[in-house]
Amino acid sequence: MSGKFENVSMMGRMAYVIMCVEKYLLNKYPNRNWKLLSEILWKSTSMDWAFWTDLYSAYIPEVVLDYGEYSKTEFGNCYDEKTFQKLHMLYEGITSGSEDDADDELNYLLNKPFEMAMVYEGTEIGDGEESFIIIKETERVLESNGIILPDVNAVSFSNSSERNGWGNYFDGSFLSVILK
Amino acid sequence: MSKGDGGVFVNTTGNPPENSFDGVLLSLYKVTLWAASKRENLKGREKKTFNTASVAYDESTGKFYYGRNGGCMQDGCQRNPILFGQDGADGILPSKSFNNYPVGNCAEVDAINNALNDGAKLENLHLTTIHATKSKLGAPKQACLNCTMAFRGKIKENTTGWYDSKENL
Repeated sequence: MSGKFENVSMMGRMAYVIMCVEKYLLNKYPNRNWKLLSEILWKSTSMDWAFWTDLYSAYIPEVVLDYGEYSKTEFGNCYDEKTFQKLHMLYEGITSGSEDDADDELNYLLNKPFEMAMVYEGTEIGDGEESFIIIKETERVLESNGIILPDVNAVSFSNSSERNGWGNYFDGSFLSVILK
Repeated sequence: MSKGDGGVFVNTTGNPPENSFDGVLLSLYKVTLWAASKRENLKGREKKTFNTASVAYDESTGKFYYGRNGGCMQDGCQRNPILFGQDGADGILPSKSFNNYPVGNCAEVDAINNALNDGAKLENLHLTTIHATKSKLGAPKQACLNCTMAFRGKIKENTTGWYDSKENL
């Protein structure tokens, strides 16, 4: 497992996880419009991860669905009430937003990019083992649904020699199968 | 983020623990309790993004100062000039981040900022940092390169370790 990604930066590993998430969304729920979510996911490869996790946390089902009504205090710096309602509709009937519940597959999977951005916050990457576990857990969801995994080579341009293993920022939207 | 709470040791009015090992354990214990309590009181996005807690122990006063990731990025944080600089003068934090998070985002910075704002001196501070996520609450957490560049050699010790990839320093 680690062999596939040990020369890929954290940015590249993030991009791969997002590619997995996108493939899952399109295969499992092809009739829903995932563009709103995809746009936020791909911001992660071109922005600071402290700010990105703060932003993306407002899109994760367990946070969104914890609020029956729009809260300006909670979501005001991320999106308006209309977007909040769109997210509720997007998740309706396919996730209950149950925290740490692997049976709530959608919430579980949408947490993986978040985990990737948080796993080495405030510390060092080291051998990267924790990030490989996140990738493995992500891949397992796709495999259990019979979904073919994305091509690892698509993210190999982002090398672990860049920025102490973090990788240079890049616009990852060209890797998206939802935004194109 | 927090005020010092001196005099918490048995039979002391704020003196340091008898030996370093006791101090490390006490710091780990206290910061874990603090983080657990903090988690209980947070909700939504703030809870979701809370992943690191740190405590700075001032050996000269016996006070503990707590911090969390993002603490110094929040509105209302009084940023100490020793760390962040002032009027064009640099602070001890690096001018540019060595990782994917902004300089000053770390829990260590928040804890030390609180200590300095209360009059503590860097050379008297012992730092201890833990994971604060639900699944890893209390596990020691090594410092990042930004904090290592800023604090190594300036504070008394970091009980949970510095960034150690020497080739990157």
